[in-house]
Amino acid sequence: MGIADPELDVAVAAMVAEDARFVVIGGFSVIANRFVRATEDIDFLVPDSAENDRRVLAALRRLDGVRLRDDEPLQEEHLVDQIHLRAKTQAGVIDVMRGGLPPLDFETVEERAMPADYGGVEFLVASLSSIVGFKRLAGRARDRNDLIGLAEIHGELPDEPIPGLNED
Amino acid sequence: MAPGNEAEWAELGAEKRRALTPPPDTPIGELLRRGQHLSAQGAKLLRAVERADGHRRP
Repeated sequence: MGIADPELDVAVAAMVAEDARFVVIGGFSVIANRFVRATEDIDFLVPDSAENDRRVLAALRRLDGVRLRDDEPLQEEHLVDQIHLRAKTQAGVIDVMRGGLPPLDFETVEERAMPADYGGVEFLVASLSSIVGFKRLAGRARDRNDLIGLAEIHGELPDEPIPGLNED
Repeated sequence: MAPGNEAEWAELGAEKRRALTPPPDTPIGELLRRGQHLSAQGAKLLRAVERADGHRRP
């Protein structure tokens, strides 16, 4: 299987069908905050929960997902007790990751997230404050570019302390 | 496209941003649809360039 284009509507439909708990982060969350740009993949933030991980894996299997690194069929140990899984699926490359310390932990990001209705499916997308935190923490060139684009649209961006970035 | 026109380019850039940024009341589903479509277009263009790479003009 080659790399498919990212199809968020297909990916979230599989996650919702498996009753998985998740928040859309990454490029599609930037887009949902009105900085419309292209993105190469789909990013899901998930809680620390083995039960939820099994639901996420079931969703990825619905999409014929395999681990991107080695094309291995998805196994429980690829996600349970792991901090990250990158899968190749029929809906494109999907990154599944855990939250960090507050305010970038799953619970806070979920609490602040915006409800979205896309393709007849309802789910959560990260809010501007969470995106800014993730982007400041990642600090890659494309993250800085996103922050510039978001600031052009929203004006001054939220600037709350991020552990690891704002320590004395 | 010559040095000294930076202010004009900045104004053109701002004009484009104003025209292309979706209004604040745009539904999130519509933003995601546009982003997904744009991503597919970008990927299609990239594949086309990669396919044509062997026929690139010097």
